[in-house]
Amino acid sequence: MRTTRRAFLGGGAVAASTVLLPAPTLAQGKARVVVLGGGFAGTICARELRRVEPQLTVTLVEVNPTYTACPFSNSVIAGLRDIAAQRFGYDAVRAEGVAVVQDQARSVDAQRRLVSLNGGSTLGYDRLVLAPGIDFHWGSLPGYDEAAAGSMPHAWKAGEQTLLLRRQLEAMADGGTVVISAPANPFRCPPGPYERASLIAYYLKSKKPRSKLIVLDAKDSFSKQRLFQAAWQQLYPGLLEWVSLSNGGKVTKVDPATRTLVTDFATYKDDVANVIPPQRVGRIAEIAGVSDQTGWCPIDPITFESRLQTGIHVIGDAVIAGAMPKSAFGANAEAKVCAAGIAALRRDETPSSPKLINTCYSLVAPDYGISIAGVYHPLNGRLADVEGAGGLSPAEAPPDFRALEASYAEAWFRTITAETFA
Amino acid sequence: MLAFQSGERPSTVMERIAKGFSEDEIRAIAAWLAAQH
Repeated sequence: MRTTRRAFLGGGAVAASTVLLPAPTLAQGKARVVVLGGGFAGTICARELRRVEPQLTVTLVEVNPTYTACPFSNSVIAGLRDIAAQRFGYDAVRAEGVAVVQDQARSVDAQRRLVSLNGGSTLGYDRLVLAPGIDFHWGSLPGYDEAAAGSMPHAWKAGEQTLLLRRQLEAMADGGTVVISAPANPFRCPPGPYERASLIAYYLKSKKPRSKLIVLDAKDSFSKQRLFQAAWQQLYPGLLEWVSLSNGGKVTKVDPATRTLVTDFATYKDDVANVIPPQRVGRIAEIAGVSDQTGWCPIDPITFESRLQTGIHVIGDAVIAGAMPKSAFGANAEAKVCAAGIAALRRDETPSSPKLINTCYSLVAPDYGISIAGVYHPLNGRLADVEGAGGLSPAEAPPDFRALEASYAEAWFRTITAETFA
Repeated sequence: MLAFQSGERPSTVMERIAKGFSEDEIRAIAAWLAAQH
């Protein structure tokens, strides 16, 4: 449902009369947008809203004072990068006029357009943007819960988990076995498990060459598969083994006490076990009533407004984005489209149909990069590939082409983190 | 961007992306970029 200007302003009037607002939102007559989640999606959305609609009061709610970026965290795991290079603060976001509130949303009242925070305050909004990212589907893989992640790290949200997996690899003796368990689709960063496998293999090859790495997969195919497998053959023969779903790769149970992974065909007892668990949308999206039975959020592909709740937009890894993958680049594009959509709705204009770009780089080795790109547009209510565009790096390419893509991967990270946090 | 699109100008990813846009859209992007300087 498209909201009219009247509904947009009307919702605000109701909220303003019923709630005591914190100082940043007291200004009368200003439309208020609250953004939940200060990752790649939410942060740039908040900043973009201020740019396209300087009159807006924009509040960004994020529980962490510092953001730790996932892209390039596989390089940290492999000992190629310091975690400090992954950390970003919100000073520049504040300087742009966004009120950054260090707190976490506890509940959303979509009818009265209110967000309640754990800290006790309540924020009224005219438009709410949810950018909660992913949560883990604890319990859907028997034996794997939050406590289990302390011995078998997921490292799928960057931070302490990244460092834990790094330490475990460092502590492992040469000749040990590392196992990565990769989940079924959909999940955050589709090529991520395979980049991780590549860079861990790079570390083992350089430092612990008698070791072995096994990827147990709940899928029969994966992103950039042909490129990854050709590179593995070339760079890590005999070191890295990928076990597909059909070959018994699906992990059905884990035992954190003995660091054991069980499939229908075999039991793996390993020195280091990285379990990337099944995922679903961040909890606040469920509370707000914007996720469906798939565990993810259906949206209008022009404004990213929820199909389930008026006045709430959802962006980033949380959404069902059709052909678009769950990636930081995609989240950035979605955030800007959402901000433009909110601005258009506020001016009572028809939001224009967007085109969105995504590029995912993966490092197979520090000087060997590969990419997949796509251009997307709304088609029949979903985001579809623009035909004839996008695709993979070439299957055959000289080393300098791979090195160039590796350098572009780093340039991409510098650019997107500067745009988001600097 | 038109040269990327046609492949006349060699690239890694730009050809794949430029192919997703019409000539009018590319001209609009170019105009926007020019206005940033």
